[in-house]
Amino acid sequence: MAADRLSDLPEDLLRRILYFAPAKEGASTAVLSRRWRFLWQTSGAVNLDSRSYDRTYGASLDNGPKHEAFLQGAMAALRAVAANGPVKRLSLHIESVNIYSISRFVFYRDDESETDHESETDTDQNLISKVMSNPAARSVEELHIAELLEDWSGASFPLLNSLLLHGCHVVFKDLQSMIHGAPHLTTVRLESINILHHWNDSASGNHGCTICGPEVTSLVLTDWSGYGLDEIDSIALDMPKLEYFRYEWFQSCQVSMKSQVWNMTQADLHFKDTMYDEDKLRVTFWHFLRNFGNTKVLKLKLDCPIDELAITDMKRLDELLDNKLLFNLERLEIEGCYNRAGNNVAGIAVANLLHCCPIVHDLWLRIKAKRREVLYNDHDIARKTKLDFDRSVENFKRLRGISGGNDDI
Amino acid sequence: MAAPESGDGNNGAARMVTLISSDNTRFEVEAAAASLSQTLQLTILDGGGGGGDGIPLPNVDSATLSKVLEYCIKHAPAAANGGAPNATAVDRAELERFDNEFVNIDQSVLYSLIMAAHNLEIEGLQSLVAKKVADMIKGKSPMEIRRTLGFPDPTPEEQAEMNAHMLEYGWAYE
Repeated sequence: MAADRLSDLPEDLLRRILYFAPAKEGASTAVLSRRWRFLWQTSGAVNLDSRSYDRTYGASLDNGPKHEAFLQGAMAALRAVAANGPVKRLSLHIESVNIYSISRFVFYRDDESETDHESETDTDQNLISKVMSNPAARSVEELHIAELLEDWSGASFPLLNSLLLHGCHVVFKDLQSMIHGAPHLTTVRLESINILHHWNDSASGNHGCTICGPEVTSLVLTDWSGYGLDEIDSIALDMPKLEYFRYEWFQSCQVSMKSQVWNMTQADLHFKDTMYDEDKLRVTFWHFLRNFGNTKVLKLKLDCPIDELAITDMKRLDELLDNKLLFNLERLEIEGCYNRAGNNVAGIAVANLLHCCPIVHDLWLRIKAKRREVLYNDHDIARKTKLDFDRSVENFKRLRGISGGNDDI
Repeated sequence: MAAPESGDGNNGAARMVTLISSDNTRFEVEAAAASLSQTLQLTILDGGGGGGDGIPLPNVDSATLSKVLEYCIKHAPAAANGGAPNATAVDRAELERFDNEFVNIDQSVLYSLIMAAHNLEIEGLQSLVAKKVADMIKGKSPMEIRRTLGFPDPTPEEQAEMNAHMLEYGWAYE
């Protein structure tokens, strides 16, 4: 059955479309035709977007009536959808180029009516907290929050299975309690986020933290702007069922696995440090690698020259790895650069990496010379660093018939 | 200077299946790609679709099917999820780029595509198209939405009903 027009589609599919539509525009589709009258209300989703109000109130967020309309619209949307079944998806997108105006929007207060109240009412005034603590939101399974550069207190979503925060500030404790309060959570994407400490934790000098997600199978953790975590030195992940992990961070914040991960199939790791106290970087890197003992596919991207990872003393390398190798690793990809005047040190680093991966049979390298934007043929690197490199290649060829990756080695 | 294709590592060529569109065009595709469709997966697991047989798809025309298969072939390695010994690492950024480009098509094609994805039970493709259509109404007034989605102007009777509805749901129409 072909469908050339929207009206040819069955109601299930129309609901599916409305599941992703912003609430205000979605609700207004009720007047398209009789058939559409109750479609949006039964979509199971409330997607709140400040841009829905730009047409009427202008793009600026520093605007009382817009705050009020957004809040009223949010509450009405939650009420309308919840009246027809559980709200499964809740998303919040507050857009502005100016982070201060987001703050004013979220905490907007009518000064006259607030003069006799003290600052105690901060949380009550927080637009986001009001939306998230609405009883209709308790049933949410999929929560997306984007561009929210403002602290927001965590709410509890016991049925949550997918959490996406994009471009947000988040207080660590709120994040932790949200993840902790969601026993069915399987997908966590924390993209371009900035994790903050609650002020009284910083005062007590407690700068490390653990995120515990017993059912999480997929985790994305990428940092915000360029400074990583302002105040947190380390994150321990207690996620024993993790299968996919994407990580883009500065190593000044150490991330470690608190529990043994058995089923990891792929890890994409991007280390963004370009300059650092060299030995500390090395130590952190090799320590971090120990977390991936069961991973099948490892993609490494390095912003610093790979030379900086080289360990010439094999005994030290084994110590750093705690004598653990990546025994299940089948495919290794390395993308990065090397110092042109590095005297083959890059080759040692590659050899070190191969040393960790006894059964790897797909190898993909793209390592170009630093500064010059010429993409060197990988054979050049192999020649430059022939001794170390060939020895390692020989080693793993012996162990496993080499099948050739989709690029040169 | 890529190394010569050395096949599938383990045991040579991947299994192929044949799909036949409503207008009788035959498409030969890797079983792994076709299996993104929950509907086809069952048939394929039962050993169907191989050799000269082919799986007839009376609900999908050839233009739509070729588009559907383009999606499946691109997404198959990601769906394999490292389960296969030689699973290629998936570049998710590349997949995102592909997806964005993929739905940059005429509305009528989008509707045929979501319908096919629904019939064939291809979860990812259904969501991808649904999101694209939802994006088309973002930020628009009720009248603009009506025109974007190709609805005729309302009759006076419909208009009266609408006005009543709009009074009740004022927040959505201001």
